Amino acid sequence: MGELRGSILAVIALLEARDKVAGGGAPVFFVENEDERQKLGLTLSRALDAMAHDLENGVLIIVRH
Amino acid sequence: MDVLTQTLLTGLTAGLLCRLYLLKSDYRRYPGYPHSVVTHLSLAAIASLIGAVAVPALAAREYTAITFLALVAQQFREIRNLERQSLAELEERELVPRGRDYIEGIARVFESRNYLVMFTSLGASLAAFYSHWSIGLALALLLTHISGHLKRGQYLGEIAVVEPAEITFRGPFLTVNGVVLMNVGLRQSREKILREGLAAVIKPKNDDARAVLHDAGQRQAILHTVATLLGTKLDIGEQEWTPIIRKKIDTGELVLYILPNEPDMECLLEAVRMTPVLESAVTRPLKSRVGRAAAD
Repeated sequence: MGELRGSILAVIALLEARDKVAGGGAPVFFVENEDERQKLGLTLSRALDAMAHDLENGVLIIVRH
Repeated sequence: MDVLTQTLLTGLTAGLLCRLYLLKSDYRRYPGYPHSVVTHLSLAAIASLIGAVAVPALAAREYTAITFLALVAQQFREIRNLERQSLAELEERELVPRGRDYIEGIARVFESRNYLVMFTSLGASLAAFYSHWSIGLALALLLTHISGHLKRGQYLGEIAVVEPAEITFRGPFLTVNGVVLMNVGLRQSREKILREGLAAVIKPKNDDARAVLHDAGQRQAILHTVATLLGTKLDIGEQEWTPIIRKKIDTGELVLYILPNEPDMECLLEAVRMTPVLESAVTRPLKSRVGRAAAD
């Protein structure tokens, strides 16, 4: 995981948006609502030393730059 | 005191004075480590002695002194490499790095200052050898003054207009003056940026300036200068607070965003204006016929 830059490390999706994400190597975390999504986004981005990006369709991706 | 000793002392003093002057007038750009200053002054002393010794040697018809100078030129090139290497090593841990171009510029300046010192000393000792040491020192002051002018590059404020700009969010997209800088997914980060972030727009005054602003090394130098002077809240592992600069592709203007420690817009604008224009960024398209024709 050390130098994995530019690729999606994790995905956080609202349950309504589960059809918007398919497999690709990164783990997907499903959440029930926006607050949970934000909280998980914060935790994961800090844990992974990376940044959370909002795809505006209910999905957050965590990418290290 | 005999003429030889007077010549050497005049040359040495001239060189050291010149170096101290060049050191002082550029303190802002210096790494600031005290050991660096000692190194620089010692090298300047060596360069001055060589410049000073060349004159009596040539007067005594020891023409091998010329090859000596060539050896010195090679030494100074080595020194430039050393300086570049040591700055590059430090870069790896910098949160807002200087960028290779800026480092190259610093190393080149360092080398050229040693040459300036050598020639100042040469001029001063020439005057001291053939007339009097006071003439030598007077000439040294003149040469130092000229060296000061030679070393003064341009600053960004001379080639571009810097104005405040507003940060807005279009959904998760951090936008400054219509240019999208990054996607910030976390709501609290967006709120923090709106509260504490600062942005500026840099407008080139002509096409030559636009070419300078286009250069990636120049942009990195702007970020580094601003981050150094204002401080940045960036930390390892928190990438949302990274200062970013992007170009408005249709006009060639740059927009800059930073989350500074000191939220002072006037200081941000001044910091951008104070950024030196890197030699490697200057291309001057307007100097060519094609460039001028394309410009209108």
